[in-house]
Amino acid sequence: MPDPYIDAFFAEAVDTFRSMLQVQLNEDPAAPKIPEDALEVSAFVGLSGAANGSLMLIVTEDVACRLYARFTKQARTELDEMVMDGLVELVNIIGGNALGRLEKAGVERIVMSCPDIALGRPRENARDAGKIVQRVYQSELGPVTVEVKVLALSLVNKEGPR
Amino acid sequence: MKLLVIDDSRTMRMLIRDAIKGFLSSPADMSEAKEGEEALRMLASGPGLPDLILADWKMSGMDGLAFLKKVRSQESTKTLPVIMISSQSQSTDKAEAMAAGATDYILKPFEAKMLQERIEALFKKT
Repeated sequence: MPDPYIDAFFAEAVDTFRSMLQVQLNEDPAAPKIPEDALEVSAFVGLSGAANGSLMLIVTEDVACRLYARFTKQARTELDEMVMDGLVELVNIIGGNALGRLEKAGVERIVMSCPDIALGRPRENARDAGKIVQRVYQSELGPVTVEVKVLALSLVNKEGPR
Repeated sequence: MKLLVIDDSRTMRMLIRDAIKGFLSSPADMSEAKEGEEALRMLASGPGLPDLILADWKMSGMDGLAFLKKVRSQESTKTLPVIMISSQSQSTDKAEAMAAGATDYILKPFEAKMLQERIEALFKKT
């Protein structure tokens, strides 16, 4: 997937955080990596159709709780089922709306899988294929990483952007 | 007003409940299902039918589109208002849902006020 199309996912993440959570994401390539001893929480959706791959939102346990609190206005201090559920819904919303952006840019239909969540660093095992673009953002809630992985891209709509 | 909300996300069900609480005489007026099959069982077992169904699209188990088609195929439920609330934002998604008989299509994330207005508009029409 060419970079302008991959950018649609990042742009949507920034817009969704701003409009839905009132949180500004500022890209910061120099942001420190998530420490090895921190629990990494990854909410993701799979993509198939015109592009195969995935969209992933990666945060620490603490940031996940803060995101949930902002999303629902209900405080949470532990990574429980509700926090994970909220994070999954957030990546679902970002992914779904990014596909609308791609459609407007002329990309053929992409189908999203049901969202899911993983704890730890499972994606390290899946780095053997495809292009992975990862951007780290700083925010008032803590660092947020958005990762787009593209295994294959078929056709961009020959009719051009709609 | 009695509402049935179908979404596999507890968070979304909670947010929807909060958004539509003004339409409920009591908390029991809103029923919840996690996916389409469960919702169909609830519709079949009663008591009575809801005035409105709010259904997500992407759910583990029976998804919202399959649920909608099933509802429209059954005599007892074919005219029930069903609003799809989904993050599926491609124009083909909305077209597919409307073609399957959705009464309205609302994109996530939604503002509570907008959801309330769309529900009010729906019942003014009918």
